[in-house]
Amino acid sequence: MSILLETKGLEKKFGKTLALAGIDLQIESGKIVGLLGPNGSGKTTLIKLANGLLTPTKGEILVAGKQPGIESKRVVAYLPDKNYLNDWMKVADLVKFFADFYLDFQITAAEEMLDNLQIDKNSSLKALSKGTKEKVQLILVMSRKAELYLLDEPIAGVDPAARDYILNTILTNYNPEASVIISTHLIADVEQILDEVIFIKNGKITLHSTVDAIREEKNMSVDALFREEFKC
Amino acid sequence: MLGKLMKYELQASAKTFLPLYGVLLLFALVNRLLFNFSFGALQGIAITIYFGLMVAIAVLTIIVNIQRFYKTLLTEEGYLMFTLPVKTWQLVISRLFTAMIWVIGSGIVVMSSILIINARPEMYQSFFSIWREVVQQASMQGVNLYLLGIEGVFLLFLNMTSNILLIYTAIAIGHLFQQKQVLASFGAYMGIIVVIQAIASMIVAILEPLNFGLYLKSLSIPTIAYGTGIVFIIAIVIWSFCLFALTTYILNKRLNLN
Repeated sequence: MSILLETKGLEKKFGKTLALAGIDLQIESGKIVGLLGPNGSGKTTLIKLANGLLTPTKGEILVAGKQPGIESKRVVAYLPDKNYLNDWMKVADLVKFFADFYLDFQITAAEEMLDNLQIDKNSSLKALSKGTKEKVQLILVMSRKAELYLLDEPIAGVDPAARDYILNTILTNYNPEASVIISTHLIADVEQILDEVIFIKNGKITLHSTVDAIREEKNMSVDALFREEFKC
Repeated sequence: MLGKLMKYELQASAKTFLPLYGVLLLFALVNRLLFNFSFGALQGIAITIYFGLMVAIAVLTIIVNIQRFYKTLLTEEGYLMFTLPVKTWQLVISRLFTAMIWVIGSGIVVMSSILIINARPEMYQSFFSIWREVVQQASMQGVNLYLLGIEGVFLLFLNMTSNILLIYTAIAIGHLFQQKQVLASFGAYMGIIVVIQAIASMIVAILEPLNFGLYLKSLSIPTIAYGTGIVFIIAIVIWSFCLFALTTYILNKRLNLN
């Protein structure tokens, strides 16, 4: 097993606000990891740092042993928590776009998922509902044979039925050598697919454990533990 | 990868430019046809629209190219661009080349429309006779006007490049600020221009006591004609490269997308 994501004393400040307070973390290959924390805890910041969209204030972040750059981007499939695709493009154009740039993109997988979710390939992104747009984004990301999937709030905006389909897709689509990091605060929905969880609060990691260990040692579900840990 | 980036950039901006180009050429043709008849009011309207379109193309060529750089790299679309497996310099160059294509495209379309409006044989005859006269005069001084023209076009092209890059650099510098990024970009733009003018006047101040003017007068006319162009070309190439390097450095090492 190799280490796919590693941070060493990683710190990120926005002006005077501390978003990540020097975190040390290692994530191995072959895991589905839940990055769990309340709003503003630093989940998105960590994921953006791994993608090179933010520059660390201190410390280091390594993806597959390398600092974010062209090599890491080849092996990372990233789903941002925003609509980041060109609105004027058709769904089919976007599939082509991804296939053009990512060598590990599988067109047939993408088309199959679009069909299953009954998304019209010829409609432009502009014409789709917010939830459908999110589905398209997720399908594009999950159609890659990446080594590390970084999914920032992948299910926040879609209906429960699609949620199940998407989680199932994540589970069946990633290869055993890859890892998936899912940031969310909808813990109950993702709990059943997670191997590990990371609790993050005020830019610090308060817990990094396997789901089995939580269930055995604390005798509670991740959701229950989360509610206890982050009680307001 | 550069080719693919440019393909998508051109596609995205073509939606704005191509219809405008088409309408401008159409109105040039309409005006040309109306000249043959005398429809007073109609002619007035047509020529007003034509000039309006010309201004619109000039303004949009600048605005759309600035906006494409900012929007595709430093807003939400930047999430897509900066996670593609491409080098940062390729992102910058693809936008620069696309911008240049549209600047040249707009220039060609506007000139063509002027040619269409003035499409009368006598117009061209007089133009060419003047042109021949000028070329002859120049060659008597030992200057090949065609060669000088190529140099001039090249210089214009480079100058355009450095102007676009200056805007990119200003936007990138603005990105370094936490707040008021647009204001910071304007400030950076003005600041760079002031610094450049200061450097230019320093160079003049240094050369003046060295009797540089006298030295220039001692040179032959062709040397001056070609030489100044070459000096400017070298200076602008170096300048453009500095701007390009700074922009790429900021986007590569100091990126912080909101």
